[in-house]
Amino acid sequence: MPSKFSRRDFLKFGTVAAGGTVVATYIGLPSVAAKDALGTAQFEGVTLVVMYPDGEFPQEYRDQVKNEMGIDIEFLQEDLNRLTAMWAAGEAPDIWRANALQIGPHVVRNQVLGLNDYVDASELIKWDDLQPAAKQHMFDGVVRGSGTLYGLPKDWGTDFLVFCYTDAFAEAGVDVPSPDSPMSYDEFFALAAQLTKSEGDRTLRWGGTSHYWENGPGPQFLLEILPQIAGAEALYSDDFSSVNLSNNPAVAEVFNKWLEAAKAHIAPSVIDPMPSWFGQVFTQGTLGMAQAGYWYGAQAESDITRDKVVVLPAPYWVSPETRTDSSVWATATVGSSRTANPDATWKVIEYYSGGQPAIDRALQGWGVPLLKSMFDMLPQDTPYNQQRYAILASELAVAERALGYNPYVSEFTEAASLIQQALEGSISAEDALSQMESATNEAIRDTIDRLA
Amino acid sequence: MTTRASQRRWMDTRSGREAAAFYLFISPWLIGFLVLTIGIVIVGLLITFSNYDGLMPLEQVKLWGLRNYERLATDSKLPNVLLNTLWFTLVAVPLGITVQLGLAILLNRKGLRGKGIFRTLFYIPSIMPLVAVVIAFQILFDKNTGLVNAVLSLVVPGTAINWRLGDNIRWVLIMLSVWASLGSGMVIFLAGLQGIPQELKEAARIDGANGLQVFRRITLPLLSPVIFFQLIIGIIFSMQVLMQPLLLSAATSGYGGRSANLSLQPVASIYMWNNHAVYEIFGNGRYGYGVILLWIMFIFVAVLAFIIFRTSRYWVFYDNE
Repeated sequence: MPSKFSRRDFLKFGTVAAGGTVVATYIGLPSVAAKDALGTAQFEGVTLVVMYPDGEFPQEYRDQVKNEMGIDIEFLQEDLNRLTAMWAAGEAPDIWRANALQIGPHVVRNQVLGLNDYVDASELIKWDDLQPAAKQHMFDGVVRGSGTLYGLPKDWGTDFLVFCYTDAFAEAGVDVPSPDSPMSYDEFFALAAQLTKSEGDRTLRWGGTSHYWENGPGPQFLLEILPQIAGAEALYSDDFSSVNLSNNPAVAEVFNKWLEAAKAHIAPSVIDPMPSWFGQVFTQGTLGMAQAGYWYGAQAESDITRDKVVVLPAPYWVSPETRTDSSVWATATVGSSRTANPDATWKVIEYYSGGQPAIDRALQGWGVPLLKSMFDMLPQDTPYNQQRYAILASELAVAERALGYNPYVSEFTEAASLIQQALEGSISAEDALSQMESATNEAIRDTIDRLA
Repeated sequence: MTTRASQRRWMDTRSGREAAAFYLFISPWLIGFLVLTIGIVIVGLLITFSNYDGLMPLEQVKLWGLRNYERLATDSKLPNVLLNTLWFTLVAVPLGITVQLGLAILLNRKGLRGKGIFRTLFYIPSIMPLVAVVIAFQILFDKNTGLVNAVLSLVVPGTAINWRLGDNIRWVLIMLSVWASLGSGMVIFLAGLQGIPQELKEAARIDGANGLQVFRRITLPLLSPVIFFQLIIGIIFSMQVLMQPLLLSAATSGYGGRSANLSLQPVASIYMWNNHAVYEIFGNGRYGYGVILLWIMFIFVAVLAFIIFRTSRYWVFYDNE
């Protein structure tokens, strides 16, 4: 009869096994080598979790990080739902990307890594070489534009350019405005009215729209326009605890202009919807003017619109002298404040923002590089790209302002629903703004309460 | 000692072994159900008493008492989303069942050629991805370039109905839902129809009953268990509709250009209860309040199903009765 495996035997065996495991682990434990002047093996054995779209952080970059810095990249395909779950579980990635609307909530929750000390010591990233879009990721408390830098933008652009389909102008018998002098918003809406083509109740071509109107009216274009209007009330209170939409004549002026354009079927809206997003409708030749960022330039040409697109500078609301053309999204690479290795995290961010990946992106022309010194790498191989480059170069002079997004809410709560009601006529524009203000202030208060 | 001995004796019995085998085989499902369903539901219930907003790590989550529940009294959207959901259920479910049954009856006819082909064609909507279906409906119902308005223009020239707003988008949603559920419902009804003994119908015909009488007196009563099943399933799915209103709305300018995401509020006339719950969670970060709304819907549907079960004794006839 076989002997029984007693508890004493189990304890003996378990102790030996555990001890062996500890010894093996200790022997096998990778050591972080001392800083190497050449950078090789500097972070040997370090693994960082990077969440990014696969096409923007391909294997060759991960291999380069491994070869030059010794850092292993555990790559995750970007997924906002997964990112949220990871944050809830306390296992946030070390590096991910966040745009200017997304970074604020992370900052007020102390979730992102401050980069000032790293930039101070960096050989690649210099403060005076940063383009204005970096300000979207600088926070002094909850106010952005200065203070601590939390992210380094990648392919950004001035986001209020106007892309014109020249055939629409020719059909309407209207000259395309000169790219050398910006037009006013009044001129934009007047031109859009002339470019609109309809047949009975059918709209054959909309005159013009804005990316920020189409996506459900949000704070983006208000934050761009309001500072241009002398005496305009600020959109948010100083501490961002409330929004001012109803007692704000400048806001009413901007909203009413867009509402009137939509009611006249000059701009698409819920009462006259486009079959697809503005980008595709423009390339189909059924949109005369589209306000969007530099990024759209890479997609604006199709078989229909090829060689028929002119890029104009951002319009102004009051005068050319007050004109601005800031970056709206300024999508950036950010690091987690809870990373186990902040130095390695910075190294990868620095590499991606100022190293070979940044050079590759600049050469492809998807957006403006972070660094001023890389600006001239933007493509100028075709007349269209030359025109885009020239406009962009001139727009950078008016791209200094950081749009002051609220870190507690990124949109106006219920905006799309209320604008729909205003367009249908069931409520007035003033009522829509008033209700939008109430709903948004409630959402802000809720967030502040939850974080308290 | 006595307990072990009696357990050993029970395990040695046939019923004991069968019971053990049963629990062994269902244990994977049971463990999954307990952990991934019941466990999640309990966590959800706990969230309703917390300040969790989807971004904060667990150490920042605090108990919040009944603050999330107090919002039920002040949320002005609730009557509208409840009415929209009830309207959708009251229209989509009977209409869907009627169409599915009608198609099944047509396919059940004797001597119908190409039955298999028709069955396949009618089933295709059930296997098509929802996003592809919505895109197709967008194209068909587009105000300016859609086929529907083009056909209507043949009758009334210049027709340019905006199908993506107001009552119009409600009917597009109904058409989309009925079309998408066509195949699966039809197959179930077809199986039910084929289970009805032909002798009963023949006997009725010999006794002088016409087609309609045979349908009313024989087919429908014997089909009532299937109708009952479809009714319950239809109500459960319709009351919990989420993606169709979201996808239809995301296609609309002023809402879209943006992709359909859970932080989108659908167009007002198709803003359903679950859309509101999900908007509160992902749009406003009110996880606790959103989960409360989901719990309310669960209880509502459970009560509704219970009532229908109780009434079934009056109109559902089983073979063994």
